[in-house]
Amino acid sequence: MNPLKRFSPGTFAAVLAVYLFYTGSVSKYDLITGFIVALIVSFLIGHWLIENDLKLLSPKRWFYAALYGLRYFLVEETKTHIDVAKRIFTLKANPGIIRIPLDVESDYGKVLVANSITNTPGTVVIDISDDGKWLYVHWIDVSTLDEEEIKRKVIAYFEEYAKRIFD
Amino acid sequence: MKRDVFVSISFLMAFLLISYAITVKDVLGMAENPLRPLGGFYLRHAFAPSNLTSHSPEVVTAIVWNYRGFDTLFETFVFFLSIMGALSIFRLTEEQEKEARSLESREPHRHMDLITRATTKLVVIMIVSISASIALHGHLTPGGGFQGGSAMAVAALLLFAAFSKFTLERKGLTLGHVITAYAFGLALILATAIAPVFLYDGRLLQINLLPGETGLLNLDVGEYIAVTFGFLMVFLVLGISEWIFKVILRGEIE
Repeated sequence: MNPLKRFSPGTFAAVLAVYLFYTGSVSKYDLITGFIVALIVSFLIGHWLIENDLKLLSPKRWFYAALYGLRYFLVEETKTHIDVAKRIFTLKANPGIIRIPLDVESDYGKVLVANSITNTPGTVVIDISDDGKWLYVHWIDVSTLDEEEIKRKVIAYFEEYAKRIFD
Repeated sequence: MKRDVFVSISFLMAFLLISYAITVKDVLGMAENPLRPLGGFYLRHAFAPSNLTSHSPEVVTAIVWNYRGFDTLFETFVFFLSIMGALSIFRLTEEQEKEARSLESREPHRHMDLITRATTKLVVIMIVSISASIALHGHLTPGGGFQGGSAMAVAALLLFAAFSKFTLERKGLTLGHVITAYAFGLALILATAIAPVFLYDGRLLQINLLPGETGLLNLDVGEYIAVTFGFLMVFLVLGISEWIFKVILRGEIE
C-alpha cells in the first residue's frame, strides 16, 4: 500500500496531543520526541483509529460536539440526577430491560449514544446487538413499551447530535 | 469474607505500628541524621556542572542507570534469560506453527462488542502515547524505560482481550517481528554500555563520558523497547490455546 495513504493525520494529531498533555511541557525536546513518536504510531497503525480524517476538519462537527458536551453535562445530567434522587426517597421504581433501535451509522456515534445513556443515572446499556442496530438498556422506570415513546424518553437528543458529529 | 476482614485489619494495624515506630519513636535514628553522606553525594552529583555527573535532574534514573548501572544491566540480562527460557519451552518448528495456525483458525472466532472495541482503540492509543512519554522523559521527570515498557504491555493485553491474537498478527505483530524488535532494544543497551570503552577510553557503562544526556536517553529507550517487546513475545506465545499445544506436542494430529 502507498505509504502516504497509510499515514493518518488525525491519529498523528491525537498522539501528539496526548503526549504533550501528559508530559506537561512544550520544550523543544518534547516537541521533537512527541513528533517522532506520533509519526511512528500513525504510520504503523494507519487508519485503524480514524477511518476518515477529513471529518476532523469540519468546523460544524466540532461546533456540535462542543454544544452537545455543554447541553449534556449541564442540562441532561442535572435533570436525570434530580429524577433519580427523587426516586430514592419515594422508592418509586419500575425497573426493566428494553430494546432501542439505533439509526446512527458510525461506530463512534454508536459509542457516544451508548455511553451517554450509561452515564445518565437511571439507565444502563447492557448490550449492543452484533450488527449494531439495537441497544439493550436497563431502565429504572419502564413507563411505556411503545418504541417511539421509549426512544424519545431514553435517548432524547443524543442520537441527533451523534449523527451530526460522527456520520 | 471474615478472613479477608481479619487480614486487612491486621495489615492496617501493622502499617500503623511501623509508621508510628519510625516517625514518632524514631527507631531507625533518622531524626538526628536526615541525610546520609551517600544520599548527599547522589543529590549533589546527579546533575552538576562539574566532572562527576550523570547529566540527569532525575536522581532515581541517575542511580538506576549510572551509580548502580551494572545491577540494572544484569537485571536486563536476567529478563532476557527468562524470556529465552519461556520461548525455548514453548518453541514450535515451522511445520508445527503452521499446524497451530490451522487449528486456531478452526476455533470459533470471537471478539467483544462494538462499544468495547471502539473504546479500546481510543484507550490503547492513549496508553501508547503516555508510555512513550514516560520512557522518553525518564532522565528528566519520574519514569524510565522499564515503567514505560510495562505500561505499553498493558496496551498489548487490552488488544488481546478486546480483539484477538489474530488481529495483532494480521497487523504484522508476528513472533518473528517482535523478536527482531526485542533484539534491537537489547543491542541499543549493549552498544550504549560499551561505547565509552571504545570511543572515550573509559570504563564499561561510564555513560557520563558520552555527550550530554545521550547515555541515559539511549539506555531508557533501549529498555523501553526491550521490555515492551519482551512482554509482547511472552503474550504471543502463551496466547496459543492449551489444547492446541497439547495436540501438537503429543503428535495427536489426525
